[in-house]
Amino acid sequence: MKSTPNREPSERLEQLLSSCSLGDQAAFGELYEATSAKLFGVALRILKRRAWAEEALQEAYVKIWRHAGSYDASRGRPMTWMINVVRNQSLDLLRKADYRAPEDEWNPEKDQRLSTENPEAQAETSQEMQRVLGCLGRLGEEQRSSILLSYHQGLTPTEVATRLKRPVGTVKTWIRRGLIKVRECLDQ
Amino acid sequence: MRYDDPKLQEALASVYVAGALQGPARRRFEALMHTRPALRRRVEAWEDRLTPLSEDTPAVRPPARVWRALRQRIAPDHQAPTQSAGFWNSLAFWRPFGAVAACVALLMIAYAGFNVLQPGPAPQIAGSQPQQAAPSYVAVLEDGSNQPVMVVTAFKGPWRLTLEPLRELSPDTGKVFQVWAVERGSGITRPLLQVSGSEVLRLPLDDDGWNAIKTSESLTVTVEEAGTTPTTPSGPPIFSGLCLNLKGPTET
Repeated sequence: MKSTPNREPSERLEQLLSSCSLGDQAAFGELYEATSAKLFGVALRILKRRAWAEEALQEAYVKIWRHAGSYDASRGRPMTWMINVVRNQSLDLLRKADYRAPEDEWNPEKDQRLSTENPEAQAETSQEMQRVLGCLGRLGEEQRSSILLSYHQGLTPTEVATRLKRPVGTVKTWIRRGLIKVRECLDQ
Repeated sequence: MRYDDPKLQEALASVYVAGALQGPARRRFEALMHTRPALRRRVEAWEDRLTPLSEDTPAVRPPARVWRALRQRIAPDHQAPTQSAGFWNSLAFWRPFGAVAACVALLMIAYAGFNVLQPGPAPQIAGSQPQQAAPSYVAVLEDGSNQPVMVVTAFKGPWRLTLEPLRELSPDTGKVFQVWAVERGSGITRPLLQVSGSEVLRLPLDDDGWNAIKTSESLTVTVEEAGTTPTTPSGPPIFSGLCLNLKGPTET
């Protein structure tokens, strides 16, 4: 049961991507209409600042337009592909020295949903998400936090280490081993 | 480097997708992904595993200016993607190769039926792109601020080359980007190909082209007049990157 609100049927998105690869700008407009709010949310969650998130979003959609032909429907859902295009674009921006919100400029209390890292707090989620969260829930709290801080906020292991007051080597090991445990759990 | 070690590949892929791979390591990893289909498949598998975590990310409607800017950038007079058949047949594509066009045309026929060389035990997944398998040489060209701009990969059996822009490449009107191979030791530059758009280019290499690649220290890009076939760069390189032999000395 996939009940995420606003989830576009994958088949429609695949058709739109296919039309985009043929240069169909109307299809691109429809694709943007259907997906941009979600992708903007993903960029905002990582980059925090609207201007940067707008920049990442724009670059991501140029990539989506340009590489629509290389999207392979047999390999995964279109939304998975697009979310990762925007994630990578956002992480690339974040890694540039001048694109990093100072810690005090970002107040997680302002936006409860953006700051939600607690698996129990998730409301409407798909089975897939519940499975991943379930597997993450089997990890220790700090190990789970390390992975989620990386994934949602693009924090480097060094930044996670600072925040959790732990050695960076420990954090790197937590993340690496934690992810392998998540895979083993998902594969069960 | 043991990038073919499945355990290392798996660890890097997981950390990359989780967003925890930092700085130069992240860029190197992305460059490697362009040359190793097995690595790319691992990354895709991790994307499938972890992307459900994005489901609860709240949707936020972006301001209209983003769409306005996008429309400008994808307009047809602004390097919209060209359908591959039309692209391959277009004069603009073939012009840079004038002298070797006949040879290229012959190689094109061979190109259609080349065999896949898949290193290591990783199985070839049906439907994956065989032309991405087993590159022999790779160069990641970066701009003056060390940001990657394009990846050039060369393959053997038959010799062919792929150029993948990593960001929008739009030379000024009347200009093209000329890619050069810079020979090891002598520093002699040989023209390889010209780029004026942001599409992925795939083209066969003739003897000279392959020789230029395999004797090259690095690849560079200069801005040249469109419609000309310069034999030496007219200015300093704007992008450059080392040309790496991925197969070891047996290949050279």
